[in-house]
Amino acid sequence: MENPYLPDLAEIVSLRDETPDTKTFALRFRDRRRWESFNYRPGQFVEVSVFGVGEAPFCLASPRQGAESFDITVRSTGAVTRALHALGPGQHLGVRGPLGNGFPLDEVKGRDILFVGGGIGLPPLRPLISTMLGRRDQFRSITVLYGARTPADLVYKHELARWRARPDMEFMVTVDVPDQDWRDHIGVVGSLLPKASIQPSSTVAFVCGPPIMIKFVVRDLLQLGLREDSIITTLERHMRCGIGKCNHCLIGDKYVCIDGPVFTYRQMKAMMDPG
Amino acid sequence: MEEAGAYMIGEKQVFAWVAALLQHAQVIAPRRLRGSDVAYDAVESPDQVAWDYRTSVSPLKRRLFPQIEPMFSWHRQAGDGIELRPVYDETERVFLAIRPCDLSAVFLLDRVFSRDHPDTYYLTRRQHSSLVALACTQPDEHCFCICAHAGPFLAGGYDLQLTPLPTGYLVEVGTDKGWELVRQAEELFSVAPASAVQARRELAQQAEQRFADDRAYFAAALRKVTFDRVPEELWDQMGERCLSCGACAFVCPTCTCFTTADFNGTGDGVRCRLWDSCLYESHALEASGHNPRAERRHRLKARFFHKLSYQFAQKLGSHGCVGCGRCITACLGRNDMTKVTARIRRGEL
Amino acid sequence: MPYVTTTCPFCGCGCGLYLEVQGQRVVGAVPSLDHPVSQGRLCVKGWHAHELSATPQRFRTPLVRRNGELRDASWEEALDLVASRLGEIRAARGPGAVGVLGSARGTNEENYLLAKLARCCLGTNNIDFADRLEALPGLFDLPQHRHLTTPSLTVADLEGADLILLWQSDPSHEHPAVAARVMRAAEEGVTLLEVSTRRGQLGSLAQCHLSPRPGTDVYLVYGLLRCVFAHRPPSTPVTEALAEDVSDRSAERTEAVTGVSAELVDKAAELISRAQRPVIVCTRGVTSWQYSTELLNALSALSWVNDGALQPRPVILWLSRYCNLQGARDMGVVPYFVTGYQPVADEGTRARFSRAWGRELPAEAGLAAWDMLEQVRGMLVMGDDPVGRLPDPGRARRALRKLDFLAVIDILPTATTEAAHVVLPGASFAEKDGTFTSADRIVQQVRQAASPPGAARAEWKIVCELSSRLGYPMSYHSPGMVLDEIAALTPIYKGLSFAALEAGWGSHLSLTTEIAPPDLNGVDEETESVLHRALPAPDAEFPLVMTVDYSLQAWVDDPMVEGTVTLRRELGADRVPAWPVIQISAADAADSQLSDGQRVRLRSRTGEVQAVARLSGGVSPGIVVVPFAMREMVAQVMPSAPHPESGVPILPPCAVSVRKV
Repeated sequence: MENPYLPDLAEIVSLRDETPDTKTFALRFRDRRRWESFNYRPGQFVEVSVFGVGEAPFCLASPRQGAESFDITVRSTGAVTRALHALGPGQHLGVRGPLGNGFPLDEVKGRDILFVGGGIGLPPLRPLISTMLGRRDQFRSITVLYGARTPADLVYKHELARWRARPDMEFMVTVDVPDQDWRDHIGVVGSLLPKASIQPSSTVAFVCGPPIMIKFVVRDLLQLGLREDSIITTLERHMRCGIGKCNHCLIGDKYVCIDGPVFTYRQMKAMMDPG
Repeated sequence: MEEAGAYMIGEKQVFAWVAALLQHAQVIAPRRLRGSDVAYDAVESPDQVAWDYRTSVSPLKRRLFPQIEPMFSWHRQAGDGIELRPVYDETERVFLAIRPCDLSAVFLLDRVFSRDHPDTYYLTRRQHSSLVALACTQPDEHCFCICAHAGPFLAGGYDLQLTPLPTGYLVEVGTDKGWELVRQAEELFSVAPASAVQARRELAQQAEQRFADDRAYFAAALRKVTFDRVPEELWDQMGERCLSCGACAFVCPTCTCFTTADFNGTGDGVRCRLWDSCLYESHALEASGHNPRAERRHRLKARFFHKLSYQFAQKLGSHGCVGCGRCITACLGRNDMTKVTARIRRGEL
Repeated sequence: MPYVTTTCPFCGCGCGLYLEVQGQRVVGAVPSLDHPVSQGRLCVKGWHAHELSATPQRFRTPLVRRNGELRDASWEEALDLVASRLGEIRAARGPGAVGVLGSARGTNEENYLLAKLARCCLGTNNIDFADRLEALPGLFDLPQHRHLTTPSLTVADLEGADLILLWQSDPSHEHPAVAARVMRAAEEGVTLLEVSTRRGQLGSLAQCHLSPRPGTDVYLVYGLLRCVFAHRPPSTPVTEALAEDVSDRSAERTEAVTGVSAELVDKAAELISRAQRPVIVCTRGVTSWQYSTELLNALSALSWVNDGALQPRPVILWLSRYCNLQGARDMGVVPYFVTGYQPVADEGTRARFSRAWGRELPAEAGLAAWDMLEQVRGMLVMGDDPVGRLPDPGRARRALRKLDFLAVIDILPTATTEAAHVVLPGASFAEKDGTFTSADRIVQQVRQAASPPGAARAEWKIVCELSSRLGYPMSYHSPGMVLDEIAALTPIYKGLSFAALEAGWGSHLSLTTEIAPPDLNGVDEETESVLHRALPAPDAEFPLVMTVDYSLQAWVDDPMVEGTVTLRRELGADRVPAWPVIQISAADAADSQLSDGQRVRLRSRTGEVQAVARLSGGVSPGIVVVPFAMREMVAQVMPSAPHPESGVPILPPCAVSVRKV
């Protein structure tokens, strides 16, 4: 019987600073076979251990296809993330996964795809965006709207530039508080919605970010005419086991780690009600 | 020895049987602690089994899912290597003379720990365990297993079920494992005569009547909880009396909330899991400081939804209460299952 | 046997629990159903008490400070260092230059040996413990007032009460086993009254909630008594005298001083007058005030308010916060008592103990804990944390840093171990045998369930080793032997032994006390004008009165909570706020346009700090509440001050203003 609590060892291949409090780590399993059997879908997550400190969940932030490593993007907020930030290339971690349910992909072929990301909400969307761009002809339009509080808080800055340069997608970025070099949009990410050309009947929207951002963006999307099951988001909750046993991430009768973290807005609404 | 559905073991032979069991396995049975306290504990000799007990201070889950248990240890090696060593408990155990409510809870735990990602720790212990029920003929002060369909006699699931009769015990065989337990000490057992089987049937009927109590109207409460038709004021009031001690989660035979913690710092160490409670204010607290269930009334509502809703019953194969009554004694604020379901049903505040 | 019977090491309730042992380790805790206090229940702390044994925060080896840092050392080295340094200081500057602190959480046996070490080895009566502060040390010395903080009522007696009065006490935070009983009693129709600055969790069950202005509690009692006698006219000489004393404390006059409406005073008094068996539950909230003496004195008058009987009945259930405050005092961890309140000043007592102990006892009373820190040069602290316990932590910290030598015996890091030159690792309640004397004076056993972690040792052994090195050999084979010696020398512990305690669930030690009728005339005109002057005087610039709350977040800064996984997370110790959190009423918040969680400027006549304001329905308009655990963060605004008579440090309420930042 395989032990779902036992991590596999992975090492940090490289890391880079994204923002003053966020880093992206590229990780690789020590065991080659483990890497080969590690097939994940965008939207899934892993539980990462710093032995002696603890374990925390992180969404997989890079696409699997053609990769030799996988990314996690970590903001320093608690004990485990602080400990992670103190590590460097070559150091070892424990990894369990992939866990969770992943974004729909084949199910949304032929649709107009809208991504709305806020701040640290871009990491879970990134592998999905990359995967879709890799199969570009399977989708109609692809639009990415991304916002952060300040320019320094934008993640994946190099990737944003590449997206901006692509002719086969629409990309817009905004910040709440600009610096003196900022030449782009100013305002919350929701303020980009009217500027994007959205076909409500055929659009499926993937929305990730702070709860308050999601609340307002979802409201705007519903007003635009999107259906509740065409709005897809990820939920975050305190997690421990990541495998539906410890009950920390339970909302009603749904486990964010098993039935999620990806949910449609319709599913989310139903979940909140029984408390 | 003739294979049969039921055997008899005399009073005098039981002692020898327990001695025989002790040769092959750890025997966990009701054992007297201090005063009137009895707990499921390892016995070293047959005379320590308290056959005439009512209930154990702590449910059987403690033996299959300990309050604190090591999951794996890590060992630093030269050149930044780490070796992980999981810790499994493969001790052979016979759980002897366990109350049907506690065993019904084990059947639920079996389903909880098997689904999605099977829990190696619980299932390893469970694989090495034999379950011998002791049917109840007399209810204890707080029992309501009838309402929860978890007793006082089990219909199945056990390896063996013992029913106390004037001359000894009727021994019903439920599984091959149970049959093995009998066969290993076959000279102590005889095939049960029809009269004994009949006596057991009658005792079961009498017990149902004794236990039948309108203490916990589950059906009405279940519907209201499922469809969120319980007045919020009820949860408010309960919240005012709840002291977030965690007792309901810990004494409940079916609760399995836990947290994990790394012990011994960043050298060599061990990751353990520890019992946790959804009633704790910090249970859902996120690293960012956001707490989706900061208010007690929300936590109480979530707990009873988990225990009583159809959604969970479907997921887990039965409701999350076996009617053992422990929460009635253990709750500092008297927010126990029987009180809550009665008030939900009556619609009163 | 894998279930070891023991007593909870946290609060003064003294719940009985079993520690589950697997192999050599403590792996769980479960309450005793049979135990008269726990009755199958534990609070969150009791349910996780077993984590004390497993937590990696435990001290596992002796530590000696070298180059500014505490480093591992051997027992030989550490013990020799402690003995030689204390010995040196004593030799150079006299016995008055060393001080010893015992513990309200330590066992009776280890406290007894520590006090013996102080008196026999070091030749000093400078032996005390910081938590003695919460028990009215000034009042306690007088035998006729001793009953006020050594209750003869027990927690179990709450079951027989027909009226429960919670006075500045919120048992849901401090004494959950009591809260459970109070809730059950209220459900069964027992009258519940709450007098407190902040409505506690049980307030919703109370028939009346009275919120006197901070500092005016005494007046409220006088007013209540006067109305009680109006409803139930006095019929005995004692009650007549009492009624006479309070005859001018009309409900209207009471309202004017306390802010509690005359109607409410009368209503509460009427309920009290009908009670045959009232019980007043109180804790540090009552005994840490400037006029605690007068307050408790006045409350005790309710002993005589019952139907016709001439025998006063005990009504006060004062509950110490920690599991063995009662025992620490009993054991003579007091600068002027040896065991059992036998005074050091008494020649006969000294002679008796000198014979038993083989050393002349020092006659002069020693320094109290709160004075000791600044007046000695070397200290030995066992299980105490003056920085964490005293009203002025900053001052305590500075005093400890100035000591020539500080040795601390403890199980977990505390603010006091941070200043130590030597730390000696001790044993938790799960790793030693001994006894605790609960808040309601029941002596119970703790039993060893596992070995102390690493090289840690039981405190009684450490004290014996130190004593021997200091020239006074102590050779005990077990804590049982120590208890036998205690029993032989201490009339109130007579007959106690491990064997005697084995049978049941402990032994109730009632101190024989005569309840003398209180002298309510003590508050004469002059004293009253002094009382008035001491009251915080709000004005236009500082319109609100801030007071400290002893029950709110009562455990958040406790080392035993900080040191364990679940308690640290649940009781908030791992979320230390950047600013102090104060609670104010919605009305006052509205006046200053404050929203919940707003950053504010908190100012008083002595200084200002930034704080976070939380709106609370339980706080009355005009009042600001801050938890005791945050006192250091508001020290500029509400400094500690010595009690004008006893010199004991207190935290007097003060006038403040709260404004948006």
